[in-house]
Amino acid sequence: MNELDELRDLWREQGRSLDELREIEVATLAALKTERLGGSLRRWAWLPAFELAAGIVAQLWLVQFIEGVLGAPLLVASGIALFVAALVATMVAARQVFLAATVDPAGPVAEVQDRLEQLRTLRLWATRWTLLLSPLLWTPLALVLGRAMFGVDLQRAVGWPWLLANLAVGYAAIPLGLRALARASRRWGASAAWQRLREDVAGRSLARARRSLEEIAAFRKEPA
Amino acid sequence: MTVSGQETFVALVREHGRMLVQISHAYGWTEDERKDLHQEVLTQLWKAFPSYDLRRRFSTWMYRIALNVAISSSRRRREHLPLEDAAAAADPGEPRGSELEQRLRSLRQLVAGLPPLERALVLLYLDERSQKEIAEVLGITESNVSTRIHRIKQRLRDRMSVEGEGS
Repeated sequence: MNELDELRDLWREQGRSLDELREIEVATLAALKTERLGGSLRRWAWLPAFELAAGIVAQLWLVQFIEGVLGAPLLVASGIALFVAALVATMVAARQVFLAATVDPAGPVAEVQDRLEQLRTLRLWATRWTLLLSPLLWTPLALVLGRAMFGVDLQRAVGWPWLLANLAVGYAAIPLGLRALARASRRWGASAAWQRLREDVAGRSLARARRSLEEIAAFRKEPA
Repeated sequence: MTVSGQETFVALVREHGRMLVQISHAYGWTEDERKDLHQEVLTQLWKAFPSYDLRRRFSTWMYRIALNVAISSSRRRREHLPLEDAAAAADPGEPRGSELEQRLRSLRQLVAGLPPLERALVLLYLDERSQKEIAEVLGITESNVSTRIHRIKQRLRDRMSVEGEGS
């Protein structure tokens, strides 16, 4: 008989002696009866749903804004840049909402894990690019908000040098930000949040999530 | 949930509690993690129970939810540990027992070092689930189950023969 088969009985027998969790079981079942516990596999659903709604509102608003400034090319270009960013964010959020809404916790494990990893990959992709592109989108955002909220044309008010300097600072902010994050995580190395942010921005979390997806796909595939 | 529904749920969970404990042990490395995971699994089962179809096999439904929660939770907590770390986590440093106990420890270490989905497959196999039910729980074909079990057996055999030579 094979080792694994021989060990089955012992494994099952040992399971009976793993009593340390029984107390948790009793306490949890008692708490559940009074509906005091929460949490869900769909815990990520609310954030993409909010992003989806915000993205749609932003796009509608930007279309109106662009229509109102058709005579000012720089404002139109800024509005279009923001519109494209909002469109991509909305599409990513819509995909996340769909994936989160269609996860059935009682579904086949490989399929559910595949969906959850797709969701995680999308989330990490969106986080990374939001963090990387936000310094570049700051200038068009300042132009658009300056006009929409205060009626100020920043291009005329502060001139091209300010706008170009802003854009240059935006570009420089990306490597500087990464370096600052690295330094901060070395200094506060114990903080999981810093580490996670650094890993997210550097793309390491995304790479791991993609490896997990590949691992799941390989598992589902018939071995050669 | 109705009172009779609650009683049915508690009875079914108690009946299959051993496997839930094994799942918590396989996906939680520390005692705190195991406790949190066990509580999370029970909570998700409870929340999903009103949609459970009583005509379907409870064990299949329960394993799916428990494993989905356990795998997702362990992924959130950390990435798949290298084999050595997993082995260390799975071995609480108990004194060496009989030969059978040593082999069981080797098995635990092997299980701990497997990727999450293969770990689920071994847990179900060790719980004496049929290949059909394992395939249903995991969402893969029976032949896939069979091939993977065969390979894991081979790995275990190799591991134990290496350990046998080393001791």
